[in-house]
Amino acid sequence: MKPKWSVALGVATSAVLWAGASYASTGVQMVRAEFDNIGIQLNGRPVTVTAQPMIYNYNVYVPISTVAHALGAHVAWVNSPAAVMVTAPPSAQPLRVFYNGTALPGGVTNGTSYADVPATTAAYMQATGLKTTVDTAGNVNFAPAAGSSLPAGATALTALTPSTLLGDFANTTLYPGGRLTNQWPATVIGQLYPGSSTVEWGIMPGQTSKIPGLDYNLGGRYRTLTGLFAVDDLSKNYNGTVRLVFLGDGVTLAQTPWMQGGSAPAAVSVDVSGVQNLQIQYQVKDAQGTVYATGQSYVAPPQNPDGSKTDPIVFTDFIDPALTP
Amino acid sequence: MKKWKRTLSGYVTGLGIGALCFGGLTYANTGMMTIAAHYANIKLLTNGTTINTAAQPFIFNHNVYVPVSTVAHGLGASVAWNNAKRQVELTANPPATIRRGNMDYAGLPVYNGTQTAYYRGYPYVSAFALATALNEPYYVNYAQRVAYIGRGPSTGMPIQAFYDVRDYGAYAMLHPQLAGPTYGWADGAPRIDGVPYPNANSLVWSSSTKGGSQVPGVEYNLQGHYSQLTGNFGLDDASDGKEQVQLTVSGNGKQLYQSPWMGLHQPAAPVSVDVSGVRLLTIGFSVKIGAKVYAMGQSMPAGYAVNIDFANVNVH
Repeated sequence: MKPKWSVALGVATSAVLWAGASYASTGVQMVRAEFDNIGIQLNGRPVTVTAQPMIYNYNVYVPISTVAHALGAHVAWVNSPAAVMVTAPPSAQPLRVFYNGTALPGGVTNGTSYADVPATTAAYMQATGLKTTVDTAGNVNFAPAAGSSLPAGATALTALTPSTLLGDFANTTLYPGGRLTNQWPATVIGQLYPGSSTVEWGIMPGQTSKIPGLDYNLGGRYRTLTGLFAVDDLSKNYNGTVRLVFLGDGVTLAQTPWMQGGSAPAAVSVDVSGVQNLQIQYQVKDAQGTVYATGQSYVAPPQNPDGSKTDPIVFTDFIDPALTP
Repeated sequence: MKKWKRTLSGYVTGLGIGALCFGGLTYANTGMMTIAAHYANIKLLTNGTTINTAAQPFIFNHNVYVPVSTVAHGLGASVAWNNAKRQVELTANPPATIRRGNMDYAGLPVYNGTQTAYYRGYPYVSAFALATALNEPYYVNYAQRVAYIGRGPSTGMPIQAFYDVRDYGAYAMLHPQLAGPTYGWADGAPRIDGVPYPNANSLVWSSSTKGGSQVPGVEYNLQGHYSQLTGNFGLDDASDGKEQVQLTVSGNGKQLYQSPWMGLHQPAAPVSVDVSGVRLLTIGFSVKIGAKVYAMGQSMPAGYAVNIDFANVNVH
């Protein structure tokens, strides 16, 4: 039996050994190497080698193509200066995850461009209250596990047909088929709200808007109108304010505060007992203090307060308006 | 220089006749052999990074040979030598498959381009997207491979992890892409009275000497979940020194802290503010030239180079 060489695999060890070794950095060198049917395994499975690994100077040398291909890397040879370029997608590494100080099941990261977590698991749903689903194309949906946020027994305002659509709401280009909702989830100071019953209205730069309003025949069937009203984060830096005014049979019942961006939504709770005809009117107060009411035209400046020509001047969310009998 | 290329004849020569793969097959030659190794100062690069290897790659029989440890480490695999079996044992995680898709909330689109990783048969969702859906701050330390949603590490949550719910003055103006606060200098780190501070979690601002700059401020949503704001405030050493600056921190619209007026080469003011119960935190700057104060949102005159550093800002 021939003596077996011991082998150092650490890079640092190689460096130490190399410091004492000397060989040509260019040209041909006759070296004594051990060929010993050296195998390569990757994750417990043999790797097919096309040229023999060898042991030389306490290091196992392998044909780079063999190992690189086994590891899913692409190998290219560059002539001048002589170099082997190995490119590989960075491997996935474990990621530790803490949610408000509590460790959650770990995720994966490549250490540079993504940090992803197993959000679809029961542990995450329990910790976050979000039901997370993913399709095979990489689309992610987060749904609040709590479901509907409408009061018990309430009817979403958007489920009723308005008797009159006013201003922009009557513009079928902006609101095809009179559909007032279901475009976007509202976002207010970072908080997302499901958009399925949120009434959305905004002013785009350079457009002429007609301040909108909604009339409903309630026929005295409801007692309370509830919801939240806010300036959406799309226009968080808007310098003006907006509000809603509620009228029952021509009499002002309530109005929200003048709302500005970067503030929590105002809670709406309006007593509509006995009201036959409910009017919901929008009002905009621009940065100069001029008020524009339902039906009036507002000629928007060419850019929003941030300087953007594509983001809205102001965008409002009437979140989950609902009528309770 | 001749371009080395693996050829079929190269394989055959290298392996001996008929031995095309390893796996119990016997090579024609085993044991110690003297071989002609071609050295050519061959560099080894993985993903563009040169791997400094003491044991040089060489060419033998039309194959480039490298120490297995070098290439394995370069590709993130771990490697062990099984002396009994005379084999190299590599352990490597396969790369995840990344797909970019839409992030939806309750079935409606929020943004596109979220990265979902499919790894070992399971989907992994962007931690940032999850944090967005939860309206919580998000911070990832790639070097330590740890992600925080909500409360941060013991050193605190870096300020830039928090969502800016409203911007004021220059911070409300479009930078190249988006309006929002500026974290760190493009040409170096904050330096106050000769002391350098980390760039990443520093809130900074520079006036335009041409005038018209609006003194900035920013509002964050802390949701009442945090207890303390810490940092170091001062006038950056790059300023012209013709002005003084002041930091004002407010919680829920009420003033919590105001720094002294800070001049050039004045040591940074250590800031530690109790933010218990604060939902909306406002960090605002003021600039004083002579006796005239320009508060958050107000335009500054031309001819002044003021560089404000609120450095190393963490929320605990």
